[in-house]
Amino acid sequence: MISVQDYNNAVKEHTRSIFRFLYKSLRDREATNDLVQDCYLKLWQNREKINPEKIKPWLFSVAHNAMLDYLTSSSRKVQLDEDFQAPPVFQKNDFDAKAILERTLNELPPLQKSILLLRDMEGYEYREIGEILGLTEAQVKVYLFRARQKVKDYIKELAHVI
Amino acid sequence: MNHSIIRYGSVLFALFLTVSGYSQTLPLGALPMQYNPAFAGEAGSPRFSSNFGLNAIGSIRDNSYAFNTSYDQFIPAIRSGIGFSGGFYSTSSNRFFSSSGYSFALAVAPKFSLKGKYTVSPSLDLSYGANDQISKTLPNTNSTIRQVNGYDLQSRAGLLVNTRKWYIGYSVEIPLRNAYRFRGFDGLVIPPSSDTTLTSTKKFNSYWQFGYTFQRSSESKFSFTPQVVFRTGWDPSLRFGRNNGFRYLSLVAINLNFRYQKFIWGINNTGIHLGWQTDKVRVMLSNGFGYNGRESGYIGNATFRYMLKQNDR
Amino acid sequence: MKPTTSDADENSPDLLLFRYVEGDLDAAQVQELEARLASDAALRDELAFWKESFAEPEAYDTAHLEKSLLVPVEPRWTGSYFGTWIFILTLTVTLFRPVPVAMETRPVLIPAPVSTPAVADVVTEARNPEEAITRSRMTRITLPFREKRLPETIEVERNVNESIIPAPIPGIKSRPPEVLSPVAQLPLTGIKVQKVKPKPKPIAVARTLSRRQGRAIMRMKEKARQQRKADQFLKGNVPYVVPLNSENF
Repeated sequence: MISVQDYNNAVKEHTRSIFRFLYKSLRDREATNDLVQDCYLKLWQNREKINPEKIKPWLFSVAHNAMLDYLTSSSRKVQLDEDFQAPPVFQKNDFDAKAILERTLNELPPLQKSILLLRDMEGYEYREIGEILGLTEAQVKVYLFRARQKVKDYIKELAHVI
Repeated sequence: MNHSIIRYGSVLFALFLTVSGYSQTLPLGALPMQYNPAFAGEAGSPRFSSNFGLNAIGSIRDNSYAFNTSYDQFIPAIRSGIGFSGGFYSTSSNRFFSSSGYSFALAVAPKFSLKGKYTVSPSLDLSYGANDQISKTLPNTNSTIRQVNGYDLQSRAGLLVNTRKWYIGYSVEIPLRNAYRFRGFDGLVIPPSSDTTLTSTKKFNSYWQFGYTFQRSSESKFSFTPQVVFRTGWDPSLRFGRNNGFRYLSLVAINLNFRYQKFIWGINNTGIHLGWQTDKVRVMLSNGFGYNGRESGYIGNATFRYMLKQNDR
Repeated sequence: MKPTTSDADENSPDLLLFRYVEGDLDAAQVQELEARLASDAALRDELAFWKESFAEPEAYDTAHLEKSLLVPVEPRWTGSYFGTWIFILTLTVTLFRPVPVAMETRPVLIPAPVSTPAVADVVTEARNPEEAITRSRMTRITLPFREKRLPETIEVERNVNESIIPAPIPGIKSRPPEVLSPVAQLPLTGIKVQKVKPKPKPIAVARTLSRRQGRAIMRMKEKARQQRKADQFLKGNVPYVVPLNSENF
């Protein structure tokens, strides 16, 4: 059972992470906003069943499923179509090297991308990622290996082109 | 007479340039030509401006400092303003990323008067910048995994219309040429690309800048001057699939400046500022808090301006 | 189908490097791999690409989204960020508010309101008709004196036959010296009979300007000032085009 205070704390502490997680996959700010709101709506509706200590993984789990549903229903090709701000000090010549990684991430299947993002951005262990996405620890490790391998191969290929 | 000013100005500028860069964390107005080269010579008197900025926000990407300086003046013989600006910046991070770079620019801005009340100034500048980015991912190894060295040659076209109490400015960046070297682990040099669209930046940024002074009369001791800068742009480098790049509009800088006699204070894009000025000198400190989405920290800027007034000549 | 790593056996360079960057290798394996890395340039390059595969955290502004998601609790003043800024601004402006120009004032005395029959009082009190002198009480308008404080009330003797009709002049706090009323020109401490010569202009003609009129005059003055500057330019008396006012920009 989570209280109003728990819920509001969750909004303050996790919205940014959930938004980033979804936005990295969808690259659509409006859709991401909608899905984040759906996640919190579900959290509020299910507040009596949820352990307050597990709010964050629960939110990621709901977010991942919502993202899959969205991609399936809209059959959208995710596009890199948002403002891609460089760090504040680069005014004169911001060579967007990280655009390469963005493109590579965009090529990954949603599950692999979610694992990679949860690992790199949120710092989750294999076991925790498994709990969020309904996978075993070994499966997470393998999917992560495949994801990183794809990213690595893409960058390598790009480097050779360059 | 004017020649000596140009000469001394150039020498001082060169001195500043050795320790100087562009940074977006400048308080608006600290470097007059930051967003529009047409501000060259707009003060009427030869003018030095410099700014030292420090960001200390958390540990990821946002620890940086930058020193910028500029010199500009109006040359009556050619009815134009000229300006030089330059600076350097450095960021450091214990986790992912560090970067440093420098840039300098030369601007010329012819000025025309309408009815003795309005000044119209088209302008052009040419800037060169170079930077060095180093990425690392493993905190315990401290090894470099990616290094990008690049340079950027760019021009800007600007237009400024002003009276003594307001201005409207517009400028657009025109990328001319850039190149980079993409290095891998241990300095492995990867040959330059024939296709630069992947990693170079071709952003056609435009800046709209507005300022207006609210004052009971031009001789009042008290005044309030808000200034804003908006950026609009198009980034074709992220063209992908059917998406033809993306367009954006954002507020990039603001300055709400109050003045009473020699004191100035207010709010700018880097925080709260407080300063003191005379006809010739302005000293201003800006203090603010920054938040990078994960951690908060301090942003500080020290701004200095010196003007050689007409009666000096 | 259950995913496997069978396509990359335990000793394959890819898996080894993956486990290295993930921090999954034990100390002995790390030592062994680093020894290989030291001698094998190709493996080093490969490791560089593996290290590239990490996504970097980015920050997005979700303040509005968070606000829309919060469930309201009992109202309390939270000292919003924006509110704090406004407060600081207001405080600053208040503290540094410019001193009004009208502070340059002079002492002015005006007669008390008509309802106080100063003359009548004096007449009844003046029992000796030979002394056609009366005392009238004068009120003092509060004005900031820089040099010297005056007493709250003063007494002035004057001839009752020279009837001055005191008219209250509301709203006037200061007047230039040339329009001082005759009453104000009386000696402030006098016992002698003082003759006051009425002047052709009545006291009540002194006028104050409304705020609107004041503003209009100020605008006209400013316009004239700017026009003078423009004329100076057109005559070639100033060096060039109009600069921005460097005091404010």
